[in-house]
Amino acid sequence: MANKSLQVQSVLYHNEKEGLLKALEALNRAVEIDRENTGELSTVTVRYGDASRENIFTGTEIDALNKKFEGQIQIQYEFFNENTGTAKGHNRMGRDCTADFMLIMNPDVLVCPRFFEYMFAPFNKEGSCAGLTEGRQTPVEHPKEYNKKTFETDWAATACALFPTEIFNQINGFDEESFFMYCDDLDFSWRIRLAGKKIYYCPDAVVFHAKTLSNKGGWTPTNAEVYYSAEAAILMAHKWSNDKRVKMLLKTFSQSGEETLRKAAAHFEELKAQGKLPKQIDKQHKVAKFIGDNYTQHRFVL
Amino acid sequence: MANKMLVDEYFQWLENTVDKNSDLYKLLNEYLERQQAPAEHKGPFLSIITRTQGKRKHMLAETLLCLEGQSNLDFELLIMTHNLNQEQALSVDSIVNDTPKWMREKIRVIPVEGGSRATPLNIGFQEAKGKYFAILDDDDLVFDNWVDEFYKLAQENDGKILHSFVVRQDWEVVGENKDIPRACGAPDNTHCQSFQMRRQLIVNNCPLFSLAFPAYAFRELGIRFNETLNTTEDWDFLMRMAVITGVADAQVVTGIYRIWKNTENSQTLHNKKEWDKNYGYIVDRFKTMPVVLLPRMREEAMGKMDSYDFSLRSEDNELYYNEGLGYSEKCVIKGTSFDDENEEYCILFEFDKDAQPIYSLRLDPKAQGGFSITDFKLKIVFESGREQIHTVNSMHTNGLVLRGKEIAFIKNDPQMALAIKNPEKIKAVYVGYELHDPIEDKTVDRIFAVRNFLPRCFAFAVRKMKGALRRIKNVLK
Repeated sequence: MANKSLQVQSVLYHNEKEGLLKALEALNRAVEIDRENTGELSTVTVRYGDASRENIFTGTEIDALNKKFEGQIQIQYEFFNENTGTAKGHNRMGRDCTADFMLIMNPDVLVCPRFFEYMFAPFNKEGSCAGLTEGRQTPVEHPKEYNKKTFETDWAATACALFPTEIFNQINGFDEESFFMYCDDLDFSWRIRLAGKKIYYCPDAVVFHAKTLSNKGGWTPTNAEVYYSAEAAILMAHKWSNDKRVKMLLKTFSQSGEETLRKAAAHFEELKAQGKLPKQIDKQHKVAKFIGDNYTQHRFVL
Repeated sequence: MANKMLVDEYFQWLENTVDKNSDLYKLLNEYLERQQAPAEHKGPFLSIITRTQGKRKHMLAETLLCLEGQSNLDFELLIMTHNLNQEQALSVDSIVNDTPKWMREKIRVIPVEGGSRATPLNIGFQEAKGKYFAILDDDDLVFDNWVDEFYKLAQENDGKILHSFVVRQDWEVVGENKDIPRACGAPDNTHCQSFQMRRQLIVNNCPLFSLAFPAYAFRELGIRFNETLNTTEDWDFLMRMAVITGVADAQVVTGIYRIWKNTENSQTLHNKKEWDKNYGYIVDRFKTMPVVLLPRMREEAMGKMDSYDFSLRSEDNELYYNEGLGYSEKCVIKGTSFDDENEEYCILFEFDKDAQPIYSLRLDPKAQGGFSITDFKLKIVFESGREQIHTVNSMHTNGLVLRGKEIAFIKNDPQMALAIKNPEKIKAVYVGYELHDPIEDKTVDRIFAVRNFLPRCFAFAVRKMKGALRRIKNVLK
């Protein structure tokens, strides 16, 4: 397959500069190695959309970074002056993308050195019908299932996901009206599959994503995470035509002792009253899967 | 020099106790004065020693990536290649060369030939320049706080072994070459316990990379790995050092200890006989070691300890509840003692006054397995006043149900779950059972009977079928 141009994009939100610089070093090294070995890439642009209250980088700092990584990656930085969330932020950056491929990443994720070879492999395989590839997060791997032989999976987390710009445009990017932060990647993945493409998990394309576990070995979400994932859960169920689940979630949340859950239910009812709910799709349930509180089989509970 | 070792604390007490004119006092005084003035350390805080045989390239690359992700970069990395052929050596060099420049500058690759598993460790410790040493195998995973937790702990515990928590997780390998890692089990918290001297003298609960060892103990005190041991050499080394330096705990999870289900590991490389032999040797050796027990350690040794308290403790029991979003640590109630006049229930879980409809419940009786329960009863009292009573047969469990009366929990993280058909608000849950810890012999026999039952049935059916086929054949002749 011919050399591909790439736009890497990340939405910043009060990130520590040190972490961002380390991520750029890792990305730069991965690009260098690609150029020395497999040669997948032509130009690589890194676009930062900063949704923080105050800009993280100055113009001088960006210039210095561009000088440092000259020849490998070129950095473009935009201060949004607005907390866009991830869906809107990525749409803003992706709308005018001219590169062949887009790589959506959490800004502080470190890619492994041979990242591009592994992530592009499904796209290079004839007959794969690849629409989206996802890297494996370490040290805490996402528990969702994937086929151990074909590596096909039902959806991809955009902590690190690669896709052709063409497909981004075909499905009109992320649904920023419905999803602020959670489930935007799930919805995006499912719409790619509705368009007839497949999603591949690349377990050899490892990316370091700083997460921690509690002393019980479990995951403890913050209040913001609980709220946004609850809000997204109801909207996902509605948009993907699972009315039974919508009813169940609304009942549970509205009667919950947790204020964040009651707020999520109230928000949905408000949208409904205003006629602002997303249009329902996949009424035949060809793609959407709701398995308990998950959107695919999980190998284990985290 | 270190000045917070376990033996130093003992010597301080001894110095304050003995006659100031005694030779012992003079000896202690001189030693403790020298210990008060630690020498300035030049070099990184932490030397990380990673052994590799060059067989697990994806895993080694992943371990290096985890080190790139550290929040505290005050470390050096010594990759000890052990008995590598040329191809394996080139593979390791390639993995190191692939890392970003700043990371490469922290790495030294040191080839080692011959010796045992422990030989590269002794050589690595010899070459290391850090104030502390940590051993990170080429398949271990660490969170971004691994180095920093050791660093923070060392500030107040200079000279002690440093210990953090790690979770265990089952993994397997997939892909054409069966070399790509894939998580296949939930993390469990078996190794998320503070270091307890008494328990550690009987069983090792500390994966190597949960520990950082003071360089002083190796360089000045000469405590080295026993190279005659091919298994449990880490435990032997840890305890010989721990009885001198003591151990400080950071009660935070810093990594994942991977247990491989379908590939080579130390359990598969060495047979049970070798493991048992080394275990016996080490335990016998420990019996000859005097151990200093400071007051707080004495309480721990003589009081109730997690694994050695065999009685039922209501506070060990945790009840998770599902309000429709699954189980999480935000939705858990610790059990309290309940005095039931009918002696049916002994643990009470009281729900919040702002109760919400509950879809399912999950009872975790203990953190670790190795016990069984009988006479189990669970009573739910709903807000409406309705009551519901459940026994073993209505519970889903990861234990083994024996004759519908007893549940044996062999594996860690024992759980019993119950779905509530019509979700409703709950006021309280009462639980009662008799605990058998450790598992009784007769229960073990029943477990083997059950495990053998189906294979025996199958074997019986095959024999009967073969007999029938022979008879048909004879008739047709």
